[in-house]
Amino acid sequence: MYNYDTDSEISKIYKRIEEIKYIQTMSNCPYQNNFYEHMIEIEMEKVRRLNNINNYGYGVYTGGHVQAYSEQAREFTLDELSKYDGKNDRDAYVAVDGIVYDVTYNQAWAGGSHFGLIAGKDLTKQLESCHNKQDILSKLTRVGVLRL
Amino acid sequence: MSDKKYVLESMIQKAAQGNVQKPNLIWLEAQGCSGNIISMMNADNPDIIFVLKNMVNMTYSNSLMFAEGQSAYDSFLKTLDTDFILVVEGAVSLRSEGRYNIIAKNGEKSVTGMEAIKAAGEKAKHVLAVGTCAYSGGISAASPNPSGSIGVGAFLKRKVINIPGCPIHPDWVIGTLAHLVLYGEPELDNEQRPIMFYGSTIHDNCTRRSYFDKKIFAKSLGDKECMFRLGCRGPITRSDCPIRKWNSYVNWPVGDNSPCIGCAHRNFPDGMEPFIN
Repeated sequence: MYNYDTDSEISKIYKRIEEIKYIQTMSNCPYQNNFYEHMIEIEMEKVRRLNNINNYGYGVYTGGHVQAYSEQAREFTLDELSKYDGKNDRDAYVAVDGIVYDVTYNQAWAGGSHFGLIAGKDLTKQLESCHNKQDILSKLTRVGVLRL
Repeated sequence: MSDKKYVLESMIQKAAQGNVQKPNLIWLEAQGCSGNIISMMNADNPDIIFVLKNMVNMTYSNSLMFAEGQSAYDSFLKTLDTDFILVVEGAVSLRSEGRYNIIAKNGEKSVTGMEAIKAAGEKAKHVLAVGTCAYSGGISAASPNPSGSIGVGAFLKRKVINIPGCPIHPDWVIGTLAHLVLYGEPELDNEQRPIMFYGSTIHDNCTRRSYFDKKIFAKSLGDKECMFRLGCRGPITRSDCPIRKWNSYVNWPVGDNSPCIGCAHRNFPDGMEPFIN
C-alpha cells in the first residue's frame, strides 16, 4: 500500500496552487508571472500523476479491463525502467504521465525505437505533442507506475 | 477505372495499337542523389525505352537528354508554354535563396532548383514528387538539414502526387504515368500517394508475417524469423515491396535477411533510425 493518502495529497496540492495564484495576481512583472505559471504547471503535473495512481494503483490495466490484484501496482524507478529498452530480447517499456506501458509488440515500436525515441525512459515531455495521445495511450498495456 | 492489376499491361497494349497521346514531361533533379532516374533506367516491364518512345515526350532530363548547356535549358523553358507533366526528384532546398542546389545556367545567371520547380510547378498539368526527398525532404533534409530542404508538396501550394521511396521502384512511377496517360489521376490516399502502390503496409504482405503473429522473432541478423525485435519498419511503411520486389522482381530487403528501414516513410531517415537494433 502507499504510505500516504493520495486524495489528501491532491487537496493539499490544490491549496498550494491557490496560494501561488494569489501571489501571481499581485505581481506586475511578466517574468514573475511566467515563473508562477511554471510553478503551477509543476504542481498540476503532480496532481496528474497522483490521479493516475488513484485510478490504476490497485491493479494493472490491460486495455480497458481492470485485473483485480490484491497487491499494489508494480513500481519502477528510472533506473529499473532503463533496463527495459527492447534490446537483446528484453521487453520495451515506456513511462508517460507516471504510468509505465509495455510497447514490446506495438507495431510502431519495432526494436524498441519509435521515431527517434528509445524505450526504457520517461517520455512524458517528448510525447506531450503527440497526436491522439489519449486514444493511443488507452490502448497500450500498462505494467505499472513510475516512482520518482 | 483504376485497374491496378492491369495498368501497365493496358499501357503496353494501347501503345501497340499506336494511338497514345504522349504528354510532354520535364524531369527535374533537385536536391537529391539522382537515384530515382537511375532506378528508372532499371525498369523492366515496361522498360525506360518503352516509356520514352510510347508513353511520354520527355523534353528535359539532366541525365538522359543529349543536349547540353544553354540549348538544354532552352528546351526546359519551351516546355513551360505547353501542356506538360512535371516530375521532381530530390528535395527543394530553400537556404540562401536556393543556392545550395544550382541545376542549370541561363546565360550568365545560375538557376536554382527552387526557381525551376516554382516556375514549372505553377504551370504543370500534373506534378509528381518522386522519391522520399521530394515527398518529405528525406535524406536531403536529415538533421541538421544544412540546405534547408523540404518536400515538393510543402513548397508548391498545389496538388502534388507523391511517390516516395529511396529510391522508388520504377514500376511505381511508370504505373502512375501510365494511369495519368490512360485514365487521368489515380486514386490517392491522404498523403497523396497512389493507392495502387501504397495501399497496404509491407507488414501486411510480408513473407515472415506468420512468425510475427506467433511472436517468433529473429535474435540476430541472418535468422529466418520475423525481424520486428531487430527494428524492422515494415509495420509502419506503406509500399508493395514484398510483392513487386526489386531489380527485375528478384528480391527485396526482408527476402535477403535485412529488416526494412522504412525508406518510403515520411520521416525517413531520422525517424526510422536506428535501422538495426
